[in-house]
Amino acid sequence: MQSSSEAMSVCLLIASVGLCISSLELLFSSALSSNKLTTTIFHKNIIYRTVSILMIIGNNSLVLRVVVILRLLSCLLLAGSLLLNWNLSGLFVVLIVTSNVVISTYKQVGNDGADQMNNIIFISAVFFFLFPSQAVKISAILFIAGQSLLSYFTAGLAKLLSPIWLKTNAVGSILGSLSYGQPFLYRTLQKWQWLGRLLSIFIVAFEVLLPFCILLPTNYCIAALILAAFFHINCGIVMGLNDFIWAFVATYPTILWTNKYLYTHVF
Amino acid sequence: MEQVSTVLVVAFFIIWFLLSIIFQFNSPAKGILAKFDYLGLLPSWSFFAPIPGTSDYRLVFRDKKNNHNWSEWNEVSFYSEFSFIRTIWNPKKVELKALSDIIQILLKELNNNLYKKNPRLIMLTTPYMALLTKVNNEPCPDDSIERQFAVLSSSGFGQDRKVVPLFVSSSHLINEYAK
Repeated sequence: MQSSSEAMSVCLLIASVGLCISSLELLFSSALSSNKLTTTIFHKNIIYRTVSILMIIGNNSLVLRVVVILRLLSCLLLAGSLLLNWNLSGLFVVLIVTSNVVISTYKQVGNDGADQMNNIIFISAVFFFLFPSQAVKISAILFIAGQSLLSYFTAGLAKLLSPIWLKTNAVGSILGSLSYGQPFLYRTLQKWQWLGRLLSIFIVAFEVLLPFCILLPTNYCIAALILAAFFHINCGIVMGLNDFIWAFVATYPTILWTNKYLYTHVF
Repeated sequence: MEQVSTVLVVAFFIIWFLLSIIFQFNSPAKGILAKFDYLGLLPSWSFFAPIPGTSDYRLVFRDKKNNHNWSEWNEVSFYSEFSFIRTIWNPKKVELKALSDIIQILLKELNNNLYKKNPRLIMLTTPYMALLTKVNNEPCPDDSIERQFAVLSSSGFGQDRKVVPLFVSSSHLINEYAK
């Protein structure tokens, strides 16, 4: 990963795949229909009021579906632009961000960490493509990498300071829920409580220590990121957090680029 | 001009990052930032912490019949059996997360002094109305005249499952149009 453009391209390619899947999930689950909990409106802020005025051409549900389809097409076209060097990536990234703003105005609940990370990636990408300055491009990459590392550290620190995670079979308990659980693994970890506690401690240590991979020699950094990707894939398999795989692994090219940048210019 | 825009954009990223760090800690500053974060730019990264989510929220309802007897509790279907397909395709998670978010807001509102002093006012809150609308959209037999919903918490599988009631609503007349 030599240039910032390569890092951003790979980051966006991976994130686009995840956002395509999320968009298709929204369309097929009809989550944006008016009788669904997902479209409960808590805040009628200025963006909501502005978008509502624009929605005079049809009902909210239909217009939102159109926006989600627009986002889906923009992701596919962005992937094409990045792979085939069309030089239109900036346009498609702007369309994705605009779609996200409209969708999140009406989808005020049901969002998760992957949605937050996608926002960070694509908004940073807008600046990356629209400003020719190398300083802006580097800032965008560093920002994505920084947010990714902050996410792991915060999650790990919150668990470290928690009265539950290091002292109980937290992982085993989480696996006992229908939302994020798996019956066989739940029963196994209830039977072997020591394994559940060990896994809980491992996850806390992994999340707290992962951000420091940025300071390791590049080969070790790559190994740490492969381990992190493995962690997310396991969370996807066991807990159904499929969107986290794409949103967080998408940030790894920026982390790797930052690692190389540090070793070239700082260390 | 390019230098000015560069400085502004770099400053924007730095400020955004610093505010994101502040936003990770429970403090008065977080409350102020949350009020102005219309675009949801400030992320919250404390996944499953400090208290891990170990239970599910279940939404159930029952009907009062025209003979004034109550029906059994029925559950609004949100959950499905575990499947490995969830690794790639999991459309149910959005509505599930929405259910969890709305119920958490409702439970938080119940701790508000206003609703502790006047419990019936909870009916006017957005989460209550959202859950009531959801249960009212479920099929309605001809002999049902009122509907009541409840929120439960459940954890574990099969015989290990534990269920705890968290909230029971008032009963509401069923609109003729709902039948």
